[in-house]
Amino acid sequence: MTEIIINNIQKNYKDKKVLKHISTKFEPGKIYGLLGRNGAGKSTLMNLISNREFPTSGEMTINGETVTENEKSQAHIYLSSEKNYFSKDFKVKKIFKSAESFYGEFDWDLATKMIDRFGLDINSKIGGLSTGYNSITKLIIALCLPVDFIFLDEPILGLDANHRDLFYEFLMETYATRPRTFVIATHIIEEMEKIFEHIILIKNGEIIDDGDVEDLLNSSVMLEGDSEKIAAIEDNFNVFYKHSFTGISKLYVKNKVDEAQLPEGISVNKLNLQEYFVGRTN
Amino acid sequence: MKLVANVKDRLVNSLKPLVIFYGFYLFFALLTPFIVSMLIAHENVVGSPTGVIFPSFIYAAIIGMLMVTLRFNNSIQFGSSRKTIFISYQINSIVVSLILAILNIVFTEIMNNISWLNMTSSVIDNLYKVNNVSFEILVFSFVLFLLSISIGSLSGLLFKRLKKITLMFLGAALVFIPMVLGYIFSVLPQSAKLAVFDFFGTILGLQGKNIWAPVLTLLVICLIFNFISWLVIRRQPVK
Repeated sequence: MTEIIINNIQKNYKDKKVLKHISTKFEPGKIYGLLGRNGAGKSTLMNLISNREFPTSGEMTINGETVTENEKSQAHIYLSSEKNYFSKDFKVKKIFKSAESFYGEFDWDLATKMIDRFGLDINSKIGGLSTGYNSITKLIIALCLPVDFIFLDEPILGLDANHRDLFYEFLMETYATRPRTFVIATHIIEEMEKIFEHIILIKNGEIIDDGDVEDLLNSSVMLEGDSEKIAAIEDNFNVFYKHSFTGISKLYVKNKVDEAQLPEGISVNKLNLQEYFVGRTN
Repeated sequence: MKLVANVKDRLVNSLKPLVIFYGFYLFFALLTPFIVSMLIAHENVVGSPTGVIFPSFIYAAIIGMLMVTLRFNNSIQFGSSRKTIFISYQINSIVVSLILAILNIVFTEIMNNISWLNMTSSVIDNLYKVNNVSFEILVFSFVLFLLSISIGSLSGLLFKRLKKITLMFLGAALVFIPMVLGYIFSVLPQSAKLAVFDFFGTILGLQGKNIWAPVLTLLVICLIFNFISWLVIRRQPVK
């Protein structure tokens, strides 16, 4: 089974430890959300996996072979990053053809469909495209290459609402016809929650959560009510976040809670992924 | 597959500038003297004593620099290893140097046969007593351009990898080291000076007018620069 195993990866930039003892794995045919605040280490981890940078220590393997400086392993991986690494004076069409020459294959049927639906002019130079159309170009490349692991770093940067919906549509369509692993790093959690199956949450260079979305959200609840009443019961729970505003407090807890056992005036609410993320990374 | 794609990618980006370069050269080396000799001076003008080799040497260095600064990120993005990219640099250098060497011979021959250009023998031809259109000059030119591309490549790689302050120190060292060496040479005893002259005379083939000696010397220097380039690129991050 093709999976990427990350084993005790550390990445330092001089004295700064950006990734600290990261261990996880990416299984085939799943959609992962790689979440974290700015500077948490998401992009660094993706850069290490895609051979753009070298780890300080640790190992990353696919089918037992290292991914670092290994073209056989890298043939299974593609990273579409926030930054544009294509020559600015290259036309979009030329970049697609270049991708095909490097990978031997390119899904031109899907590309043509996406070009048409997004309204992308493939005779434009990539340097002349807007931020949104730059993102669309990179997305088309990512979805049309014959790789098993696609890493998308902020894929919907600059996309308007209509184009974001289109992207989700194409993502799910290609996922259904050719199941692959998608690992998506994004700050637009609310929208993407519906497509994530598994979440890896990074805080200060360490993984603090690594599990299925449903399991993570089911393991936590939000208690909401009068600040004084909340303060009175706070010590009974495994609190990971508290927020108070105008006499009302919200308590995010990693417990299963029976509302009937709580004082009157305190409600129990399910957390959505964004709320869970805010609570865990604050 | 990645090697073929890398080589094709780099060749296209190296050969296009060559067309532009030779277009410019043809204009300035042929048409300008024609205009001056025929329309202004009404007499044959003297062609360049270095021929096309010197401007080609400079341009080859530029091609080398462009080769390593453009498309590296693109190659890594599309799954290439740094080893493959480095090998594609070498293949590209060999092909471009060969094309430059052949074109150098062709242009020299053309210019030798143009009546309104009064061509003199080049410095190289006089030093080594070779015909300026010969197999020896072809090989010499090939190795010279190979060296030029490797100088340009190494410069480009260092410029990308090193901090600006380190580059400044390196630049200063490149200026001051010859001065220091010159001073040390001046205070050497006569016998040592003669030994140094003999050494350079041998490796440059000046004593026996042997062009194969500088060919070998240039090749060794080229290999050294390429080795340093490999040390620089093997851990180069994508930025």
